[in-house]
Amino acid sequence: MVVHSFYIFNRNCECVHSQKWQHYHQQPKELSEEEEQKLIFGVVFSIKGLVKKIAGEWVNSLMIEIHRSLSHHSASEQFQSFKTSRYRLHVYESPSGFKFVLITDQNTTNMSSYLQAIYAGPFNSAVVRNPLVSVADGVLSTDKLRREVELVVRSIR
Amino acid sequence: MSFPLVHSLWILNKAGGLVYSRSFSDQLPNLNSNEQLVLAGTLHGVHAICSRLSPVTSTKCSGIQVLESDSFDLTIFLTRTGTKFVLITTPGHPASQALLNRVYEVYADTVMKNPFHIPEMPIRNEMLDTTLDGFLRTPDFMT
Repeated sequence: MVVHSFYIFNRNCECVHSQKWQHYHQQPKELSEEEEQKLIFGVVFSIKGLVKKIAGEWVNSLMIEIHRSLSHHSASEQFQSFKTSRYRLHVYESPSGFKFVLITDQNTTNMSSYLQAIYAGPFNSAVVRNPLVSVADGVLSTDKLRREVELVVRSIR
Repeated sequence: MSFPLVHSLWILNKAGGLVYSRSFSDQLPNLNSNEQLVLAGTLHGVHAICSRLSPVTSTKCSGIQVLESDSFDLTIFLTRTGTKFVLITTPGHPASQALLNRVYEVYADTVMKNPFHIPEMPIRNEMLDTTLDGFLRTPDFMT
């Protein structure tokens, strides 16, 4: 189980926090950091649209209602993760429109509970309840957020 | 957990055009052909971008293989020639990869061996339709 990186995007497509874990030496990428963040947001955004289109009215059907009431899932229809041969990308979107993205190796299963935990714990205490951070600003990452996300990620088995 | 169903199958050509689509259940909304073409194009683009996002740079990375969402799973099988087979199933379908391999086999037998088929063009093939119905459509008594 390897965690490669973690990103938070706000509603205006900006990356407000990013964290990377380098586990072994690698050749540098051909993409710059900023380009990569834009591509990740683009992919997440397009897949979200795609999923909404395909799932469509099924949202209103009885089954999803039952499913939602059982899992206390308030957010609308969303995609959770996708897998390629080298990595898996997990997404959790908060009701306020923040997107939490976690990139891990391809063998992990569902990580949305960890992303939800990051939203409920570190993000809430270090950003939302922190009077020194203005959510309207571009960058939200503080040392506290960084440390606490680190703790949650370390707890992943 | 509901009974595993196959919702639909798409076949995309090298350029991301939708050349075949067939629906096997009525649980997902019916998209018209225009919407399907747009979605297929989007999927093709996203698939290509995903292979560039790999955090591991030493080895080459494929595009999306499985996409999981709350209401369906989407499994993509990319052949050596660039044709993509896309299967939309209920979440957590246990055999989507195996089904796609079988679809590829049927495609090779019915479409590629048909002398009248023009590569990269929309597929109209009754034999393919009936064979796919045979193993992808859930029998009526089970739904």
